[in-house]
Amino acid sequence: MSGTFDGAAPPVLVIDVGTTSSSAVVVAGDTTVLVPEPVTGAATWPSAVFWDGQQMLVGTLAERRKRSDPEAFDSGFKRGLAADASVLLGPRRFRPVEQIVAVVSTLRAEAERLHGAPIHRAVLTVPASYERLSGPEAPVSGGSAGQHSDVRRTRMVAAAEAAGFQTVELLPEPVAAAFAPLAGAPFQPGDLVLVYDLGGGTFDTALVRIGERWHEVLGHAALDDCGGHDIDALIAARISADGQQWLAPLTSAASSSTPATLRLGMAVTEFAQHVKHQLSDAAVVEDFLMPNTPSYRMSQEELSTLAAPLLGRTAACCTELLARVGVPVHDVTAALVVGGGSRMPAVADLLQRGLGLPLRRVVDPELATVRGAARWVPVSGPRRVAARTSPEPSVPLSWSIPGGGARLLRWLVTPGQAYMEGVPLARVRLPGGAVWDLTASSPGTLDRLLVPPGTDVSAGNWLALSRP
Amino acid sequence: MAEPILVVDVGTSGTRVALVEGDRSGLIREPGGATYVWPSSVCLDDTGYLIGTAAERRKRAIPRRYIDGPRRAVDAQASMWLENHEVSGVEALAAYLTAVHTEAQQQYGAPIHRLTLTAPADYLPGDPRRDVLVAAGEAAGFPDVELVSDAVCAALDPETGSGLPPGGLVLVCDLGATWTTATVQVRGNHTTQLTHQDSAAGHDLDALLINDLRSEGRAWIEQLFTAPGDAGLRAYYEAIDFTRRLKHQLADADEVADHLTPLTPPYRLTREWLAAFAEPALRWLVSSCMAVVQEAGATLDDLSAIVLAGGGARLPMVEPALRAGLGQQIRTSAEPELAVARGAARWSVGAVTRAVLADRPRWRIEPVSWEIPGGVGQVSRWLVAEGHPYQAGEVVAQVRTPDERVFDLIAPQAGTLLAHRAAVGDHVGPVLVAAAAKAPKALAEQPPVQRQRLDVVGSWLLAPDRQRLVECDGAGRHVRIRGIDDGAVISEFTLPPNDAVPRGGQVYIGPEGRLCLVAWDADGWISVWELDSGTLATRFRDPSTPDKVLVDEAQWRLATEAEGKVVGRYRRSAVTTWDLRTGARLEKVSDDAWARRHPGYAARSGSDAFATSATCPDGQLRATTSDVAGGTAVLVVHDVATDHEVFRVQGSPGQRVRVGFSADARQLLAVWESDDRSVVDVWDL
Repeated sequence: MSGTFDGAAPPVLVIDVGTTSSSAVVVAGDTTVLVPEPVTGAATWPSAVFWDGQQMLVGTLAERRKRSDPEAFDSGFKRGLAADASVLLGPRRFRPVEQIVAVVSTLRAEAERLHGAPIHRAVLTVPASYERLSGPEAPVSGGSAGQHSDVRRTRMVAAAEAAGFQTVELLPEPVAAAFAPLAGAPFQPGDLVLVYDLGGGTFDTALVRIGERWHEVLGHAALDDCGGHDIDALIAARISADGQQWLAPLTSAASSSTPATLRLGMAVTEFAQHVKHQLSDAAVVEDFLMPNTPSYRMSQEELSTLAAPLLGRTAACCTELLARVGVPVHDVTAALVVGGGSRMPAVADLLQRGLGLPLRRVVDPELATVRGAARWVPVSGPRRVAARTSPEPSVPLSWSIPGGGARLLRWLVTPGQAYMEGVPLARVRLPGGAVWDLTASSPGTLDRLLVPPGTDVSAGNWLALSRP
Repeated sequence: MAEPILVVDVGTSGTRVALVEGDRSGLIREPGGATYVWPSSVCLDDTGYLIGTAAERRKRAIPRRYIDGPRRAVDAQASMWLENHEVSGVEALAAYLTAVHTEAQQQYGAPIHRLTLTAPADYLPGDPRRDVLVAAGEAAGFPDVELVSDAVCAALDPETGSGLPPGGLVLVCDLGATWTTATVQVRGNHTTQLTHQDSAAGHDLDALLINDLRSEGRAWIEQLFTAPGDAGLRAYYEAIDFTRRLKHQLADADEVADHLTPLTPPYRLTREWLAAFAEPALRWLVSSCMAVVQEAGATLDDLSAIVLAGGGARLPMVEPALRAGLGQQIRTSAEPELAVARGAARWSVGAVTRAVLADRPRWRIEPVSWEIPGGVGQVSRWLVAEGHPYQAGEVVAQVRTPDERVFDLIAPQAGTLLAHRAAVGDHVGPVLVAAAAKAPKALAEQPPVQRQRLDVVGSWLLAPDRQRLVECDGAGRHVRIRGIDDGAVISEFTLPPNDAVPRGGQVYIGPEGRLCLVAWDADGWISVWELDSGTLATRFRDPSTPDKVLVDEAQWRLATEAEGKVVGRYRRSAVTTWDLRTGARLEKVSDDAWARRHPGYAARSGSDAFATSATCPDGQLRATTSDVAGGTAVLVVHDVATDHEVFRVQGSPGQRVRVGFSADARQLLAVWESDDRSVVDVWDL
């Protein structure tokens, strides 16, 4: 870390580990470079892992191997981060945090290859539901590290550190999304924005108040079983039902071996995704599951009808959130639509008709979070804090408290106040209940208080700085 | 003007209040009340809380909204019910204290911000009930609440606690509603309760008396108690007060009789009956006294005093039973129920003396501080280890703020990090401070603080352990051993009076490093005193009355030099040597060059840690002495690593200087000597 004091900001890798897909952007100075999935060239990486017996394959490489050995394959493991219970991948057990380490390590390796130099610093986006227990304005509590925050935040930091990053920051996903470059005029400070994030695996919504360097999350809500993949499953079920007469013989032919049935299921799901993606900009799609099967037809209206109950739940989730935080819909400036699932035209219709909110979009909705986080890095201010320097030297104040420890009750002088020798500066209560005064051994002026009232202090602790 | 302190001893049935201002203290009477005991009662009327006598007056009208002893709810860690209102212990006690506070301020005429609250002996440190007491005091408007144990207060009662030796062990028997025995070590502000036991004996005695009243008056009392509505409860409270009153009257009468109501038959109670009722409680008391003393690791003979306090001390049979059971004199006061309050007031008078002076800042350490953005953060990493150097602009530590940003804390200039002073994971803010070594340039600009200057007629010696300074007057009559850090006298030795005139004396380091005074007088007697024990090691006489005495510390021998015979034009001096272990004379020679040939013999200690140059035990500083032009002695201190001069002191003309460092590397010492005076300067490093 000693090479960073030339003033140039060190490179930062911004990573969005999603339930179904992940993405990363290298931020170096003014430039941001997306880290594409090397196999497909796509902007996002499948959040998938495959244990081949020797190493963990990540992304498309994992997806490709899942057909050959479905039991060594896993995705959606981000959901298990809170419990962190291990799962079997072939012969070995892996904890979700280890699977995340594998994804982050792979992204980091690819990013460093692109950047041409090591990257030591990372920003990971996390769902708003990974809550901090103490807000930025909360007072210092006790001094123990135990009550830090949601265990998932700690595990995300630990995973990124295990993947080789020295410094890891976390950024809530809706805050990141609201920093994403918008089509049209940017948000203004004070705007209230409803972030509508329909991802592959989950639906997340949050109400944020736009600020210069930070957006405040006023409230958030999520549906864990309501993502783009759930719509895919609905389409797949519909295909299976509609194609009963031609799928049935295939299924019975395949029933002799279970992997074949699994493979056929995967093929139907992929076909459903394919149909859904085409319906993003085509009114009607006609396609074939296999060359020897009849054509399958689906229209945008049919998709809308199919997805309506699911999308209805997302709308209800948004309405409930606004009611819970007590913000009327007309006070909300706009809904920001992000996440891969939001490409469906039905989503826009729903939000406009169902919620009556103006819509704001980003160019690549599935990249909104990672792009926004990349923009947040430079605007969120420098991360370097110079030591305080003052022309007059300051000396620390400490006391040999009888018995070794006490609770600081209050300070009797304020910073900037001059005091004489022997004057009480602070008052403490010993464990036995006796109140003692901590007095000055020489005259001075109180400079800074280092410990707030209510803190348990020990003999020899530096409690304040003073200028003699 | 000293801050006023309100002292409150909240007992189960009675509360005592005192006001302390500076060294004056006085008990406060309840307004309208005749005694110093305020009833510990709370009554919740439609207008709010009433306490004390006001509550007692209302209890007949609204008995269901009355409770005696708000502290009992704290003791039991439970709520109380005042008719339909659930009242927590902290709320009831706070209401009580608020009323006391208001009344005290009215009587005092100015605000009172500080409260001393007595805590039952079984509220040990860490007991959550202590927090409840503090919270109640704070809720009653006192920012500063001090707790002190009932037992400690009783031991400190000025009426019974006089003439106790420092560290004296006091056995306290505090007999309120709860009977408590405790041992207390009395040591001023550090007085502590060592062991304790308690029992509900006082409460049980009252219950026995009520039961006796019920059985004696069963013909008429039950119909009073079972009367419908509030009347039954009212009668029950009356009965409690009635029996207490009779019990108190027995303190100076052998038999009492009274009527519960004007219409009921008389009830009689004799001292004999009371003694019979109290007998089990007294047996408990005596055996509990033995137990707490034994648990404190002491015997009854080790006790400096046995103090009997609390209202129960008025029971006529208690003091004789205790005296007989323990075989010792018992101290008790005329108003034993005020003992705890008086002791708490005495404790509060000492409040101004419960102060600790700030540690002396270390010369070579300076704080490096960073403002944490947003005010709070958590240390995530130290990149510079303790004891390691860093460059200007280097990242010293990283701090994670609650919004998960991670900030690099940058070093302002090159230096060495001495101590982190916050561990990884610690919550810090608004400032993070680390300890750094001050650069030689800054050291030179900010000289060390001189801690003291000690001036004597005679000489100084820095003991070889470099922890003690030894001061010896010129005649060797008086030696003081002082600590280096505060100059305080650790021990003192004065030559016992003697007919002979002392001629001289010097402190030497004897066998096994013992400090010894070698003194000689006009009659030629030479004495060797071991200073640590104050004992005479040897004493012998050189009849030739020497004018010079030299000691060889390594061999532990002494040489006397006296004027010898006249040979021609010369007078040859004679040297006699002695074994200092035994006092035996070894040999006598006449040799002018003797001293030159025996360099081990010296007129002052060669083991003195004061020297012409010295290196600090931590290896970082070197002190040297030299003469500048004009013969003035100079002391110069250099930083060993950089060879920069960091400190310089010049003496007065005619002074010689020698230097030394304390063993813990915390002090630099210099001794400036002229013909008959020597001055020691001590600086904090």
